[in-house]
Amino acid sequence: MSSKQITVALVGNPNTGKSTLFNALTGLRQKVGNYPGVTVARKSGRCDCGDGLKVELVDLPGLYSLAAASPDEQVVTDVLLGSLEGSQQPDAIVVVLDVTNLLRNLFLASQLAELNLPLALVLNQADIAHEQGLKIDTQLLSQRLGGVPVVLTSAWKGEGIASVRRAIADVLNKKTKMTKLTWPSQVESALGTIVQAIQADTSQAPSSADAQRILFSSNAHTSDRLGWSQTQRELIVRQARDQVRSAGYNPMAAEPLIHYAHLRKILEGVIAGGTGKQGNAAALDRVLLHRVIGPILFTGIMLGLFASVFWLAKFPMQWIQSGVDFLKVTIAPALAGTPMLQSLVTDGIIAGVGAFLVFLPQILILFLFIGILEDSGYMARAAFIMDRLFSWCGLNGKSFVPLLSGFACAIPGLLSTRTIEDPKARLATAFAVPFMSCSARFPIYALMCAAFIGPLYGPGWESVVMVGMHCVGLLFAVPTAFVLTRFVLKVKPQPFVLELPRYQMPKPSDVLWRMWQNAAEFVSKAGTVIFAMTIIIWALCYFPRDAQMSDRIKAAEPTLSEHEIQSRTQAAMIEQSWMGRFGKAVQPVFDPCGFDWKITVGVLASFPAREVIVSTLGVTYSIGKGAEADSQNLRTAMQEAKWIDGPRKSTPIFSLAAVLALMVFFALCSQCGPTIATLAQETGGWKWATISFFYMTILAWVMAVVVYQSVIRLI
Amino acid sequence: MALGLLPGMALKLVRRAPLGDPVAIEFGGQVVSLRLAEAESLIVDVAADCPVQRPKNTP
Repeated sequence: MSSKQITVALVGNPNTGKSTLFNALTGLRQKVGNYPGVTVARKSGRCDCGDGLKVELVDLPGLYSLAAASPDEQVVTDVLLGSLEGSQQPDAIVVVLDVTNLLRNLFLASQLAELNLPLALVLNQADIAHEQGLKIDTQLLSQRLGGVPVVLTSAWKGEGIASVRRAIADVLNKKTKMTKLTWPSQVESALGTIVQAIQADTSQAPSSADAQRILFSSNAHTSDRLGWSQTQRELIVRQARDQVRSAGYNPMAAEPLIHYAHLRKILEGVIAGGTGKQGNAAALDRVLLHRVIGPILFTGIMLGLFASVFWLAKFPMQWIQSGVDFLKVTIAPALAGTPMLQSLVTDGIIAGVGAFLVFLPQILILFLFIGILEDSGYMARAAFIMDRLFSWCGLNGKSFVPLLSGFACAIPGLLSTRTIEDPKARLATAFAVPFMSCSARFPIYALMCAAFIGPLYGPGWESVVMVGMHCVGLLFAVPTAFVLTRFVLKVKPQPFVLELPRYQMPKPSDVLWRMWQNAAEFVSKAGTVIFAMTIIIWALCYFPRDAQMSDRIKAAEPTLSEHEIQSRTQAAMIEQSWMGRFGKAVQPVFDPCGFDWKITVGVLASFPAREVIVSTLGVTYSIGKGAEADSQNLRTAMQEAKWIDGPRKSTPIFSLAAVLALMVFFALCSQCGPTIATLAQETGGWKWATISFFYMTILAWVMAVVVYQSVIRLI
Repeated sequence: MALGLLPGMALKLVRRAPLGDPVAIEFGGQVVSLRLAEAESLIVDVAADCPVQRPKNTP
């Protein structure tokens, strides 16, 4: 045997149990990555097919037809044609079909037959077919399709997996191909017209499958790939479509019509029995999609999801935090001799690892819920219920879960946009998620409200402002999504056609496996970026160092206590660090928002993680490290802070205007390194992450100026 | 089309979403959700034995 890796592609409709079968065939020997340039996950794994035959099994995204134009579907076509950069054409295709809906599932198989690759059919969900009383004559089906292996499985129950392995070995061995349909003569000659025209133009004959894509699909993907000149295309394709029309077919409907007619004949006598009933779906839908009960149950389920991500994750997050703190305290004394190294290890490296580890509990819990909701079939229903609320601004029903999770944390929210198939809605949702008021914004709201709003206007206003701040992001996210989908992304909107599949018990191993894969990808991709950013900000706040600082402070004011000297030293150190100098230099930019240089340093130091603002204010206001939102000293120091020069001399820095401006700034500003890193990971490059960063940051500044300037003038 | 909704096929409006849009239709043993904007492109004849009134938005 040659040393070339044998690859087999796993293709099928959504909801056929394809991924369950893939997991069963490959076990834990899987690799997850991305296809180059697109945000389509590439899943592959080693599958042992007996007799020492090991193949690379590639799990392609689920799709209904080769004709559509979404990135997922184009990746499938490109992989199967071997035209995708960095991936070789598979040696065989295994088509996974839902045996209870065989006709529709065979349509894709019939299209795949046109690719001339060895092919095997796996009729999955045999257990449900059995329940419905369906009987399938697999031998007859195999015989009518040209002898391709046809096996019956129930991947959920783990039945028939061995026969799939045998079928793969068999198809690789015998290279059996599925019988193609016979096109009506006019369609045949229309395809011939296209083949000839392309051959004349590019001096290379395209395959019949390519000609079919050009004739039947409305997108130019195939023509572009073949390098067919633009000028010829339109005329030739129109001529060819006229030929199809002359046979009495609408060219846009001809392909499925001809395939389905062909397949109906193939299936005659293959399926027996079956009541055609929907099983559990109709009965459950009557409750879950009820006009009144449906939304109530939906709200309940989503509240449960949110509460879990928000509250349940708090405990493991606290454990991680105390683990990180414990590590710092334990390691610090060992490095006491070298303060620079000590600070690098404790405030840089350990804090950097902690900075992304702390997101893992939320990610795991959210994907546990998403796994259960998707695999059970409820997610499609949730999207059905919510679609109307989102469709008007270019999002769809599946945007709800990412946006809701965004209120706990943007990271799991962004990762969950993967569940949205439509690329335009996916991008717009990912763009809107960081606007949601995440839990890291809470400390600054809490500090400001407790120190200023509460004492000045009473607890009533305190809660009004709290709630208001949580809505600010949403208020800007919705118009942003609207403008983005309507005017910026000039992609044809995808119809939101959604299958409402039958309900099914989620398979625990599939759900856990998906949790693990999402977490692992986050750590390996976003994790490294987050770590690097933490180190950079640490260095900016640490250097340059003045070793005599504390001596000088002691000399100037000998009466200070040891703790006060330490706090003053830290404040002075950050003031003369690169970050402090930079903060003072750019303070004029933030002056119209009413921020002094100390707030400015806090704002700048918070770009990797916004929750840092409270402890940075603690350092700049000389309270010492480790200040928390409920620190009374910090509140007092801030209440007493006054401008020392300029036109506002000796008025309080934290006036109502400045307090509101600061909160609005934090509500809108893109101050989260992990979010930017994850956004880049999920949108397949830095373009949208960069746009998001500048858009949110500039918007935050503009709104902070508007708030500050108007409040000063009003009061 | 790819889902197997072909000319001449019988389909049934199973239910509407709580806000009236999208709608769930059943055909060929499966249930599919369609937005009204997309369902509008379907041309349907109401079956003689249809127990419900013809929905307003489907021409």
